[in-house]
This record gives sequence, C-alpha cells and structure tokens, in this order.
Amino acid sequence: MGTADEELLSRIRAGDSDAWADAFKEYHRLTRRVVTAAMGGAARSVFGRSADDVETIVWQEAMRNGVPDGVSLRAHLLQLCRSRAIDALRRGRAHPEEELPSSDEEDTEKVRPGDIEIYNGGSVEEEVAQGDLAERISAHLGVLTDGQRYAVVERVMKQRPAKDVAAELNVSPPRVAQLVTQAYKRLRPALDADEAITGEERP
Amino acid sequence: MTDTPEPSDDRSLDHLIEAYLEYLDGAGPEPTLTELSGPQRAEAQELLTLIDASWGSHLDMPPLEKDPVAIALGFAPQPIPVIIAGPRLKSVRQQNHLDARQLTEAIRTLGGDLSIPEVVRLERLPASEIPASTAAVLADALEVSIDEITDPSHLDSFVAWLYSEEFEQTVATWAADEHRDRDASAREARQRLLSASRRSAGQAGRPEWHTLLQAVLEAMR
Repeated sequence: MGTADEELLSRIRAGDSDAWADAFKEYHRLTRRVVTAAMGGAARSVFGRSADDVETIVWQEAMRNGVPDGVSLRAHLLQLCRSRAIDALRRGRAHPEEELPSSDEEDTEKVRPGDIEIYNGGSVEEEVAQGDLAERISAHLGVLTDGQRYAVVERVMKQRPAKDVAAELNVSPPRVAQLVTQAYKRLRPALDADEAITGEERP
Repeated sequence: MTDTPEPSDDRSLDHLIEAYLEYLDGAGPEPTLTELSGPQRAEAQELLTLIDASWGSHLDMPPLEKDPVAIALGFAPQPIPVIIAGPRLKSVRQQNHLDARQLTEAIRTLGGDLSIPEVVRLERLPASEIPASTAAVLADALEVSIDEITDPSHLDSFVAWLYSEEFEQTVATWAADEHRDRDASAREARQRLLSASRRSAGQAGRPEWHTLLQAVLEAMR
C-alpha cells in the first residue's frame, strides 16, 4: 500500500495528467466506504446531500488543493472524508427541515469531530476508522484460502445466515465459524504489515 | 469449492467467534471473554475488532461507467465512438428503400434514439463520431453488419486522414504542450477541419492538410 501511494503522490506532484484518475481507481472503494458509513448509509440524504455528493466533494477538494507534504494520499483522503462528512451532518443538524440552499457556500465554522454523532449512535470518527479497517481487510482477502474467503465474505461481510453458507460450502455451521476464526487469524499479520509500512494503527 | 481444513487447536476461540456472530445476527446474547486465559483474551479481542469492522461491510460498486461519482469527476470511461461515413449511410439506407422517417421508426423499435434531423445530419457530414451502441442499432435498423457503415474504406481520403496516426500524433503533441485533453482536442480539430474542407471542397493533398491542421490548432490556443 505504501509504495503505490508514494508513486501516486509523486505522479500527482509531477503533474501527470492521469495520476488523479489512477488515484481514484486505487482509493474510490475506500472513500465510498468511509463516506457512506460516516453519513449513515448510501441511501441517506443529509440536507440535500447524499454520500455520493460528499464523496465527489472530497475528490474535487483533493484535486484542487493537492496533498500536503508529509501525509500519505490515503491518510489525506480519509481526513477529507471525515471533515466533509462532518460538514454535511452539521448542516443537516442545523437545518433539519430545510431544502438545499441555492448557493454553494460551505459552512466554515470549526467543529470537533467527536461532537458529531450519526444516527445509529456511533461517531464519524469511529465510522471512518471502521470503514478504513474494513477496506484494509477487504484488500487482503487474497491471503485466505478459498473456503476461508468465502466464509468471511458471505457470513461476515454479507451477513448471511451460517446455515446457508455452511450448505454452500458443504460443511457444518460450526465449521463456518471455524473458517472465519482461521481467516481473521491469518489476516492479522497482513494488517500488521500495513501498519509497519504506513505507520497507521489498528483501532 | 475445495478447502483443506486447518487444524484448530483453539476450540474455545472457535466457539466464541460462533457465539459472537450469532450475537451480531441478533440471535443470541453477547458472549463474554471471562472464560479465556489472558493471552487468549487479547487475541480474541483483536479478532472481534476485525469482525466488527467487517460485519456488513460488503460493498456493491457500480461499474465505473455508471458510477455517479466517477461520472461527476470525469473519470468514467467514455463510450467508444465509431466513425460513420455520411454518404455511405445514405447509400445503404436508399438501397434498403427506406426514407429517413422509416429509418428512425425502425431505430426506435429496436430501442435506439435517433431523430429524423439527426439522421439527415449524419448523412450530410463526411464523417461523424457516434457511440458504438448507436451505430449498432443503426446497422440493425438497416439490416446490415456494423462494418457496412463504419468501415474506414468508405471514408474519403481527407476524412480518413483525420483518423490517421499522423493526425493523432500531431494533436497529441500539441495537447501535451498546451496541457489540454488529447481526445477533446482531436474532436474539436476534426470538427473545424471538416467545416474547412466543405468550404474548400477538399481539393488539397496531405501536406496542405497538415498545414491546415497546424492553423486550426493555432486558432484553438
């Protein structure tokens, strides 16, 4: 992850015209996941803004302003997701019954991220951290065996009943849980390696 | 699906994860970690953190060309255009004994969307770029293969040159120098040159076309 991020940053700073398109391909899943979680779901619209709108704003801002020195592109995008989701939620809280204003002016009032609670009781900070971790887990599914990966994707990520997944794998439901346990044990070293490269810590 | 079972020496952890997944399903109480030893408890806590993050995290991503964010940012791939030679289109339509109205009705029946003025305009221009999907419907409506209306051999020599490597290279170099989009620049240059060729009846040869292109690019600065 670190090397790809550094290469993208170098290309962006060198003015490579395709660099942002490649950055989008690399991190679109991450920004979508994180913004959607922070906004409380893909279908939820806050003060006329959907998760898609907020994600678009995140990328536009990144492309317009560039990436500060000493920050990875991934970390910068996550920070923008956090900030713009908070902006949207604050606007929604300040104007719960109003329609989207005609002007495009942004709310510039400073907020503390921990102040914003989303509707399911979590905070934007927590949701962003969870989304980031979920994306990193998803990126490392390749280290799993076929059965482990199937069990994680179907049982955990898609929240399907154990008996259905067990029938498809031709195993017992307890065996599905065993595969899930083995899978996450195997994922831990890969996630630890991420941390060693990026300096990011698991929650 | 084949998967060789790995030996599990940690049945209490397996049971805990099974119980935790049932808890997340809403089908059981939240299991406690009190029965686990210290190191096991730490490992279990880490695994539960990962499972919490993954729970319900499956993400359905639309294809890039239909992704609203990619479209808004201009990162969605553009539909692949094909080149239609207007005189060839007209000739094929007439061979099929269809007038423009009958052709547009046939297109509509096949789920396409071309109006009579659009068909007439396509036929009048020496060449037009249209999406491959539109060309396919047009060919179906005319009951010919798509090659019958898109084959470059049906283009006159000047129009064929507008889609040549020489043209593409010249525009690409100019677009890079001017920090402009290569494909958009090529489209605009072609459009301007086609208008110019109508005025001059396309009498010139390759060197003159190149000079004309340079003049058009200069005007596009």
